Amino acid sequence: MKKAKFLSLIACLFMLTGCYDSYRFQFISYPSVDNPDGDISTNVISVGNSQTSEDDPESGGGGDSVYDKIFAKYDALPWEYNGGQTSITMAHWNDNGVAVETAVVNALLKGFNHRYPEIQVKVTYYPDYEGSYGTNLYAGTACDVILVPDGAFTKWGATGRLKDLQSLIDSSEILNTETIFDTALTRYQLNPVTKRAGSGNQLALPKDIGPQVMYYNRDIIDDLNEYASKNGLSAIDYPPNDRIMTMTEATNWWIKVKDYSRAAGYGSNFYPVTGIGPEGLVWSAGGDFLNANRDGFPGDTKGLEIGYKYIVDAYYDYEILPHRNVIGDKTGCSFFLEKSCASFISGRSDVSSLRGSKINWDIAYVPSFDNGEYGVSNANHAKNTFSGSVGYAIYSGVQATKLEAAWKLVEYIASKEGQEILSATGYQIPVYEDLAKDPDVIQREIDGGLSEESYMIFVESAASQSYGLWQYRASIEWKEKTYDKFSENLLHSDANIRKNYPVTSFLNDVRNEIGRYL
Amino acid sequence: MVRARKKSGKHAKIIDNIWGWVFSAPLLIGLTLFLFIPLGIAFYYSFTNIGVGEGYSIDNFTWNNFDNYATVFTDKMFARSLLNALINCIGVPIGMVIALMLATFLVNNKKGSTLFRVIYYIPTICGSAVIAYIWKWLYSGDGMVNNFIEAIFKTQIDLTGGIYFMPAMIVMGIWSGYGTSVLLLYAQLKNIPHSLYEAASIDGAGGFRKFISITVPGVMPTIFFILITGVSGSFQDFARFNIMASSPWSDYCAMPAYFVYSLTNDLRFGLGCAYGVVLGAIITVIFIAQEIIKRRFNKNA
Repeated sequence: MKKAKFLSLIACLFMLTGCYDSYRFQFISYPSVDNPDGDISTNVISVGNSQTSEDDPESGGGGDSVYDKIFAKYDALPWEYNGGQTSITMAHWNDNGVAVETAVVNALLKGFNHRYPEIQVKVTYYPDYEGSYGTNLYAGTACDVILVPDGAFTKWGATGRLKDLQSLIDSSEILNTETIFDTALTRYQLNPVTKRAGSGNQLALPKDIGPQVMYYNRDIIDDLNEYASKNGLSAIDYPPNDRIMTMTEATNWWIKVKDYSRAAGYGSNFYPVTGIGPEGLVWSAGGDFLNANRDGFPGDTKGLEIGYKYIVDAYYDYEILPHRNVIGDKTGCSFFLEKSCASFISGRSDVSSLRGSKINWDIAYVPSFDNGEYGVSNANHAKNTFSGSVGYAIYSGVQATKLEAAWKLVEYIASKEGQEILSATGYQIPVYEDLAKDPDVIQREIDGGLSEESYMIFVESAASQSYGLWQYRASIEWKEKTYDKFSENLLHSDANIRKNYPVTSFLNDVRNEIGRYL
Repeated sequence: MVRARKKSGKHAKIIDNIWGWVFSAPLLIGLTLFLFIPLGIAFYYSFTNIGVGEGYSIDNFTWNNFDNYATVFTDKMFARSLLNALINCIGVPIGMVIALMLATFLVNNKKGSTLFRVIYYIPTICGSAVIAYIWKWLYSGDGMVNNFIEAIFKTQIDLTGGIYFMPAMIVMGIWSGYGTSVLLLYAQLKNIPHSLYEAASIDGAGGFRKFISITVPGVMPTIFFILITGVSGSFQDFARFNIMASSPWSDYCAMPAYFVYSLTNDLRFGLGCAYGVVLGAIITVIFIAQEIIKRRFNKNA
């Protein structure tokens, strides 16, 4: 009996250990600063142990490598660090595929370790990063350096756990924020009183800026023009790359593509365009989604009416946009890659996917409203849509001994050298306007298959496109639970439901409900 | 001698009690640390404005009485989400009836029953997210279901939003949930003494009569278990809705658990806890009601 009890006790302790391990596993999935090793996918990255000798500038093997050219360009800058040998932790997302993120971060850290070999950086990649990492910040278990998506910046900044970087920026001899795109820099500023983004304390520095453009398939246009010439129809021009098309021009272009493609046998599931959102339409029509203080419904709803009316018409009158039932979970880019559409509106990050494809593509500015069309009289033609960005911040609870190292990393990422390395990966353009126009950077883009004119569309769009609605307030629920929710019926596939729910009714519903979420 | 034996008996009882606590300790410690204490904290937070964002603060949160609960009880969308959860419960009895039929079939047809039990259980061992993505593909515009609908009705329907969303989710829920029910009912059916069926046959009872008078009462504890866990699960259903719904805040798609998830992501913990407490209270009330019905049924039986 005693033996049985003893064995049972052993079994019990074994179970307890198992329980502890399973709970510990949950803890170590989200490492604290004190326990940086407790993570799910940590890479200790330093020059010499993570790259091949061919790529390693320290090895002397790649004398004319891109790295060497970039390093040589910025050797004169004072890359000083006095904090001694140390290691810091860095939190990163893997939303776009950990392989891509790892490649980009590795490229960056290679440069960083070249300049600061004493600092080791341990990177942890988190799933559902934007949705869940805020709780780590809140709980005080964040890494020293944190990737901050602009969509999460306002609420993460409001935790008070992102260090104000302004004094560090002011004393930096590496950074010159004067030439950083204003649209990239100001989205990481937070007013400490109102907790609104756009001005105030600089709590993060941009890693990138992702302007949106309209990608189009040149081969499809050529094919449709061949059909047109055979049938005595007028040709379809490529969209202009030196100006923003008006919505009248763009709509005519898309309708022409639709008509020709259907006649040429592309089928009813082929569409001229995907990815048109209400933001750019409303803004360029002179409207906005909230009032100037962003604490109420706007007084003037003309821009909203024009923008949303256009979306409804685009789906059901012009029939140029695929219904969500058609496009499903596919991104605009994947829809484009399978040649189900002639053009799509999306950000810079899709360039890497398109470069790997066999599609003969090019880009144009995202079209927008101008005065005199669709009843627009107060147009903001240049504000054609929003851009995306991610930045880096320092966790305010970073150990004092690691603060300098953490700052050196954030500073390096935002430095011109860091930006040039990042742009050389092909995934982004630099956040510096002058660097974006640098001949070396332009040449790399040309080598990657873009013409200079087309590349400049990205640069010009980065200068004019600001942050999206997600940064209007700390929470986006005002949009999700009003505009998005009520647009369900506005864009309903049942014509009778749409008929009984015009844009004015939609906006009335939004107006009546939005106060609850502001 | 008797006294010594009594003392020894008392001593043994104490030792047994200690052993009892020792054996229960791992579970009790786990429950206390990771269930009861967090529940208590969540209940406390539900009366505060703890969180981040406009009107909130991280270190100086304050008691705000019933403000959070006022928000919850005046939230029409939350009410709508509860209605959606209730509609989602329709799948529980339907799934159970299907499971009971399949389990009865398996008991009566021993050949291949192991294979079929494995097949029925496969949806259960797949993660809910995996299943949701498979069904999302099936329900998409170029998916198998819509192709079938288009072939018959010459039109497609939107199964990831709008009025057809909830029926589509119920079908998916039945498919993904009946595997466990089949196994539970199968085990229970095997426990029903065969002599009861033989006696009923001698008395002239037909198949239907035997099913109603022997099989159903015999598996009633399991049926109640499936109903309780199914209804509770339907109210907490979240992952597959989050993946399947084209717009999670639409009237047709909103689910109560999404409010808690969304507010936690927004770092508005106080309000999120209030939604969680209310949802938990509703599930508890349903559970109590089911327990009362079960006891009355057992009493009458």
